[in-house]
Amino acid sequence: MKRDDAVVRPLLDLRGIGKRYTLAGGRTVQALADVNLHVNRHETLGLVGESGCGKSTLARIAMRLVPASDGQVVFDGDDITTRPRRALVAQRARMQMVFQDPFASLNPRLTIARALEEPLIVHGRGNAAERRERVLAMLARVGLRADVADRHPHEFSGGQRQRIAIARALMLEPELLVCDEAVSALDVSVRAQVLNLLLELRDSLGLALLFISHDLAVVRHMADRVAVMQRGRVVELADREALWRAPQHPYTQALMAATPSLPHFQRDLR
Amino acid sequence: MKPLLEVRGLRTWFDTPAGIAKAVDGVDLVVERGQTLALVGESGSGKSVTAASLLRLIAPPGRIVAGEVLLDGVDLLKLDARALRAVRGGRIGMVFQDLSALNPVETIGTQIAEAVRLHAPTVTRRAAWSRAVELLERVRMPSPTERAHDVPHRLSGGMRQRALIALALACDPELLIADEPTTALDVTTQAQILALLAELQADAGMGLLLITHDLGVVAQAADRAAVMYAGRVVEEAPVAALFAHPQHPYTAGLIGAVALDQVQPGTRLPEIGGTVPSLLALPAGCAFAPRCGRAVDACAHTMPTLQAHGSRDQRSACFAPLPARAVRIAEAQREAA
Repeated sequence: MKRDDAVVRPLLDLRGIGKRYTLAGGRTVQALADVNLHVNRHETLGLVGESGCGKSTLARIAMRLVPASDGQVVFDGDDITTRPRRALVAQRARMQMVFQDPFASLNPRLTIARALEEPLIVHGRGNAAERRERVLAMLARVGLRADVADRHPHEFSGGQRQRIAIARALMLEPELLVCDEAVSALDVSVRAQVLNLLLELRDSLGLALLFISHDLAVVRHMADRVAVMQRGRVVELADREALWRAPQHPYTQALMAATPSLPHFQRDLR
Repeated sequence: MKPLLEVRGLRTWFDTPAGIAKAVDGVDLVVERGQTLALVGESGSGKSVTAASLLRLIAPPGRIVAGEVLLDGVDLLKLDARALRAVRGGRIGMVFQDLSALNPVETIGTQIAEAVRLHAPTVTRRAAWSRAVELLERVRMPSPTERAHDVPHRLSGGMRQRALIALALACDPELLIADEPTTALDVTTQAQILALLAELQADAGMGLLLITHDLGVVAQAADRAAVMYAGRVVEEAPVAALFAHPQHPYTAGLIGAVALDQVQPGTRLPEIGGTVPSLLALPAGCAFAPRCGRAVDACAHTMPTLQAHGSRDQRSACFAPLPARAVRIAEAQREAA
């Protein structure tokens, strides 16, 4: 039986991605080498590794924010590796990103409403009234009151700003959301709120997620499949259950051993 | 015997255009010799301001308004500048989160040797340098003799943190204050640094005050923990008791929010609703009450103080503390019957 093409075709397919940086003096650094990963529709791929392993570089290459040195970026069957920026507009709407630092990723001079409206304007969607309506609907969706719309980013806490950043990323109804350490800068109690929000939005909007974090526990909670990166290479790729049941690569095992776990505590805390 | 460090009623406030921010508002702490106390809290809880206040490292618009910081019974808040300098980096060593605490243009050997000579001026330069190398060896710096000649940027994050610890140990402190010493490090390096701190502390019988936002670090490295919320300690207990049966609803919420390995992946995490109150406008009663599911009438207008509710070893500032496990199980059974 022939399966539906859209089902088997990954949403994002990274094929043999390499990235070299040339240093002053002519030496080169291999930041990424032969990375093959894909993200299916409605799937969360976790990408875990320590600082400097290349996970953020990979995210930026997937988003076409930096060029790859080798390999192809294929989005929904469409090779976008070398597509000129102007011709990328349609794909850009379908893939959006949430960054680590909610203090740096929002323009301090724009009101929240204006920041959320901007992607709609760039992509020529709706008239002013329609856009305003969609901004307010999205704010409600991420758990913010309508009165935040006319305020500025500095008036909000880190957790609220991250909600705003998520709202902005979702304005164009993307199919893929790339989260690069999206909860790493947040306090733990706020982190739980934002993870819950991401889970809820993922399920209700049918999003695919590339979820990048240095934190194994967070990746385990969010991801269906997990890729472990070390020094620019994927050293292990497995389903979540399999990875935690029997990690194969020594580096994965070392990461798991080093992650502090809490002593078992009384569960019925309320 | 007096405790190594005892803090009583510490208040550190900041004058801001919008009013007085009560960053630390009545903190009591005890660190015994050979013990690690973790001071744990989220950002803005006052844990770092508390640490800085202990050595009077508070600059305007901040000011220490009240309290005592007793090192072996001597109040550091009353010392003159000269006596205080002898304590800083002498009897009390400090390790900060920010790896830029090292001078970028001096070798780490020079910096450590300088610290040795600052508190023991009779030591020769040569002897101070050997002592520096010895300290680097003690903090398990790889190739300490060679590394002593390196400037900080030549070192990895983990090695820089080791150098900072060596610097803090230069004068054999009785108390080490470490503010988020592993926050900037990867997990594998973090585990090594925590093991090192524990080992150094056991060898030297040092007291360690470990400031952290990370309950995983608390579980891994501390004997006791004090949980801070909005400028006050809300619970203080041995680490095992804190995790096994937290009394304060905030402590319980915090543990629930981080214990990701104890929930089914992909399911909703327990979260603490609401947000931390502004330090400019703290409620008259318990600062956590507006977010607390167990709040009773008294919580809104009366400030609870730290008290033992069961075991004498565990204290919490709460009018409606969570009952001990046995009581909770009995209650659940009665309800089910």
